[in-house]
Amino acid sequence: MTTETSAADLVEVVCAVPGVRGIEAGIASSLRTLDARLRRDRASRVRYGIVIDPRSGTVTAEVGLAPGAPVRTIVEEIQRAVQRALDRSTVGPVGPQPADTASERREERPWQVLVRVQSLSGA
Amino acid sequence: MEHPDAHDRNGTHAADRVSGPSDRESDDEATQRYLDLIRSVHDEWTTLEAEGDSSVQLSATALSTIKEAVRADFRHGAHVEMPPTAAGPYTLSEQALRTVVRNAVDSVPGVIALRTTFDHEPPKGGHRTRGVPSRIRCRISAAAGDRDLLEVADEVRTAVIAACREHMDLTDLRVDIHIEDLHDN
Repeated sequence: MTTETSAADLVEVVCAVPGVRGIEAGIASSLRTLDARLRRDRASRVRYGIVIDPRSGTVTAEVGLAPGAPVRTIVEEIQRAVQRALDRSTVGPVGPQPADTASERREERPWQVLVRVQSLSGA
Repeated sequence: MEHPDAHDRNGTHAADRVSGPSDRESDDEATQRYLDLIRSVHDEWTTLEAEGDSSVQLSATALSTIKEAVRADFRHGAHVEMPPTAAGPYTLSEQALRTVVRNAVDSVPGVIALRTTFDHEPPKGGHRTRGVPSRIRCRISAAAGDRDLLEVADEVRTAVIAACREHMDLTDLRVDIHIEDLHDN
């Protein structure tokens, strides 16, 4: 049985990748989080630093990394971990149809995971 | 107040940038939209509060998050496009990119990174996004001593090019080194 992967689930997935210091939200995702929370509108798809957008088939993850492994290696591991989590999920990219409708079913279209590296610091 | 890294952030000094009439018009429209939005939010929240809806009562933590997100955004600067990985696209903030380069400069014995600036290809993305870096200018301080300064500059250039290739797969880069100062060991 599969369930819809929430932004909160992806926070754990991303933070479990070696080399990730944490979720480092930008102002845009912070405001989207508060907006979704206030509207009580699909808050599960937006968390500080994680945005799931089924319309565009895009997940955005804003992270702070620790120095060490090559940046692009850590980024690729994040992208693959998120894609694996979403592959197990019932939620999928929905193309041009309106979200939150019966048409919001999974299609054979992969998610695009955009990683935004905000900082490189720490031990 | 000017940000200390204004040179780095813009590639040129902020004061050197001249906005044209279309830029100012666009800014005016954006400002008006923002003012309208804030006004709308005020009206909406007033109505909800009058109805006893507690959803508009933001916690102290939530309010703090907004303030910190603004500060963080200022630190991070714009986002810079990078060659995608095999699994998708990614960007680095100007702050993160500068960290990679400065760590490479500082890895050369006797060298201290001072100011680092970047030129970029045109961006493919949208607002506040810069294209892939095409040129890096590193201003450094070198230890005064017996070492040939040309060798020092070459060593720094090699370190920066290697770091950019290793971390971001940037291969077509021009790296300029300017020895701005000498310091005692």
